[in-house]
Amino acid sequence: MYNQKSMSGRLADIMNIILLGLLALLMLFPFYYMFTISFTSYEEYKLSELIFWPDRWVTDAYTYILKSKAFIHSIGVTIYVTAVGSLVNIILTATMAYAITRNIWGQKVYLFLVLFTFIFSAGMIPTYLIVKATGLINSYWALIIPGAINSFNLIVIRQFFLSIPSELNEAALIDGANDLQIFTRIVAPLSKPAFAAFGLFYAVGHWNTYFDAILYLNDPSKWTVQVILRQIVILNDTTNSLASAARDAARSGHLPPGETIGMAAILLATLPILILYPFLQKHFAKGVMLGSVKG
Amino acid sequence: MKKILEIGLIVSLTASLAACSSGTKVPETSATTTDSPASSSAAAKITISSIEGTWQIPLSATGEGLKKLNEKFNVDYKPQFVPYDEYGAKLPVVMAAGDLTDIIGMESADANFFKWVKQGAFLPLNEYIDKYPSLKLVPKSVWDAVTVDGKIYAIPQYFPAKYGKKPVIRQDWLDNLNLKMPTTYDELKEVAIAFTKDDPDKNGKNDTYGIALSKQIVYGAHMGAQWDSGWYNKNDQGQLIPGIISEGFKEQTQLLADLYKEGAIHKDWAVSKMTDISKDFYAGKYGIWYEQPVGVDQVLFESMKEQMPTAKLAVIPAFKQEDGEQGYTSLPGYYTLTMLNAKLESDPDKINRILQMQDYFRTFIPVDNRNPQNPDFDWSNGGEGVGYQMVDGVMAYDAALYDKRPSSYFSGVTGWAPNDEANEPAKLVSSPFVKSFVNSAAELLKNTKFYINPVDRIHSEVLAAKESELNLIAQEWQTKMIVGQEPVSNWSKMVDEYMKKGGKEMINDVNKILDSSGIKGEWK
Repeated sequence: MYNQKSMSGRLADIMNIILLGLLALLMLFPFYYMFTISFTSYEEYKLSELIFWPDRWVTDAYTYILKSKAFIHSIGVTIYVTAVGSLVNIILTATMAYAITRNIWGQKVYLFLVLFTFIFSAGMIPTYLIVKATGLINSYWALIIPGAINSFNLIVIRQFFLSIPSELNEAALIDGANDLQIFTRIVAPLSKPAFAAFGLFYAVGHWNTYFDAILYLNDPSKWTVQVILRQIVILNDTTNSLASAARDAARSGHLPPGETIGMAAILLATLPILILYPFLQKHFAKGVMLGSVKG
Repeated sequence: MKKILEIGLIVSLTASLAACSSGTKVPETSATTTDSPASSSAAAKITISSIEGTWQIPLSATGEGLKKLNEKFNVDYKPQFVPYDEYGAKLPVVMAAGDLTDIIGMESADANFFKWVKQGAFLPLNEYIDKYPSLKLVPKSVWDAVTVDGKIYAIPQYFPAKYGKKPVIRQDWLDNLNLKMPTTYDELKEVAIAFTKDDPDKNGKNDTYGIALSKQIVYGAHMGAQWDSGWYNKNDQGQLIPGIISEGFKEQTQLLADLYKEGAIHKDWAVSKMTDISKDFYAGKYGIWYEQPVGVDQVLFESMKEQMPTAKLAVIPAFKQEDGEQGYTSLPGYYTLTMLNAKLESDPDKINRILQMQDYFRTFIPVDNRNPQNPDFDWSNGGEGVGYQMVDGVMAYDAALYDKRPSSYFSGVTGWAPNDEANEPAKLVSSPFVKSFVNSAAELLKNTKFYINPVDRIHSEVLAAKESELNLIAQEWQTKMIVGQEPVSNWSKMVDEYMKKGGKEMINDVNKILDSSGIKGEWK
């Protein structure tokens, strides 16, 4: 083992490990910083330039956030939208992608329609009008249905389906399976890694729902966590000294005092979706077509 | 394939055209309707919907405060709060879709406001003003801002005109160095340099700067109306010009350039965030920054006092100008507007109910009466022990209680004070350090003259379209001047570019409107 590599090769390995390790730490630093700041007292934060380790660990920021029901509630809302939304996304995207891989009548037209939305999209007002006309305003479905199929994801999944050897489908056909059975028994199980990957993309998208929630949901109790988070961490960035005073005053007393709470809120809002990653990781790692065609 | 593409393009173009045309239509009436429009008795329950921006964390639509509000005014109030960040994007969509509510809020009388006024979206309120005492208190200069062709289209909400951001100085540093309060730009320069080089905090370290400045030249060193961005100075033709290209502003820019050269302004100012600079000021890094007497961050002040027990802040009095005047530019006198949907015209009951609610929350409660014994104060804040507590004679409450307080649902509406001093801001803060600063600031501003910027009172479409873009041009030049990449003597080149890119047209338009409306800049 030791002798297999030359001295210089091992040195290069060590250097790589050190450099990449540092790089990885660099990526982790913002999280570490958020973490420490969220446990720092506001007074200490305001007076220090950079804090690596607070003098005193306090949980004021978390107490503040968790005391207001709005934040917890919005996390619940977001989990709901993410779960239902991603499921709808994957089911609709996969079934449509499968349909347009089949040699059926009108397949080209459907594919064209998909490609068309890939390039052209309606503006905000037309989209709003459609959402309104379909009665989705103020409903969680407004966050799910309009974006249920992402055309890019659809195309990629379609490509993925096309790469499944057609012999498998033929074999199933000979065994008497119909299209639905081929999809559920053959294609879908083989596509788990793709579903996991795109499911994660969709989930992250739903988790980050911000503007759609503001646009379509009038009832604040339905707002997603990103909207609440933005309200917490938003800064008064008016460069106009006149308007700035009124804004500062309008915000004072109504907003959590300071960045420590913002950090805690960001951390709490990021954690749930972060936790999802390790569970989906194994699907990414699995070989895509491992042993699918044998004999 | 090509043919399909063609057809597809035609379809999409028609679709977008159709969508655009519906976007410019006058908004239709609100989706919510009144329960009994015919009845004139106050007993009839009225459904009132509203949309407004908010800086707050959203309120529950089933909150106790809302219930109380509904009971008191016999209404079914359906407020819709939208984060201010995206309000400017959402409101036009709602307008275009015809989802307009009965009450509409806006942050200021911007270009959209005037556009919608022209399209007939808002109800003229002239005939109602005299009926409500709190509306009668609004001065003409403020009504001007929301008046089009003699018709008043919005209710401005109160914000003290005098209590904007003012330059503040570390009085204790002045005392340490035996310096007196600066009264001219030369003296200011000396003070700022001394703050940088003479160790004003006596800690033996060279760790202080004269003036705090952050990116986009926020806030600069505006020591009076002549030197700030308001329309005060005139050009050779006697036209009012925007402050940013005036000689006064040049003097101010020259000072900043000199101070930068001397190291009295932080090297990184042009890339520093305002909030970070503010933080550093309260950590004792800078001698001069901006603060306001209302809505100050008490925690910041407290932490400063804890760190530097001798710290003392004072507002710098306005410098005497060449024309003999001396004072700061005032704020417009309002913050946020409340409009009524034009479709309410046929429903006077609803209009009056809405205005009653407005009037109730706009009625000023003298500071000394803001205690549980005052029934209006107690009710609108949700009741003592429920929506608030009295701590050292000052009302205190925390986030968890927002939706228990009826006033939260009318958070944009504050009592219209008979004069700015009546706000007695010092009585509303508990910390002695903050109290003493606010007190001295309010006292100083009480006897300071204020310039009412006439441009706040008119509407110029050219100004609305060009001002921010032009300001960016000027700001870029000035940033370069301050850091020494461009000599301040090139000021006229900057003015030329400003004028060529639309500044001239804007100045002409603004002055034409000022002349025809008879509105002038005035001192008060």
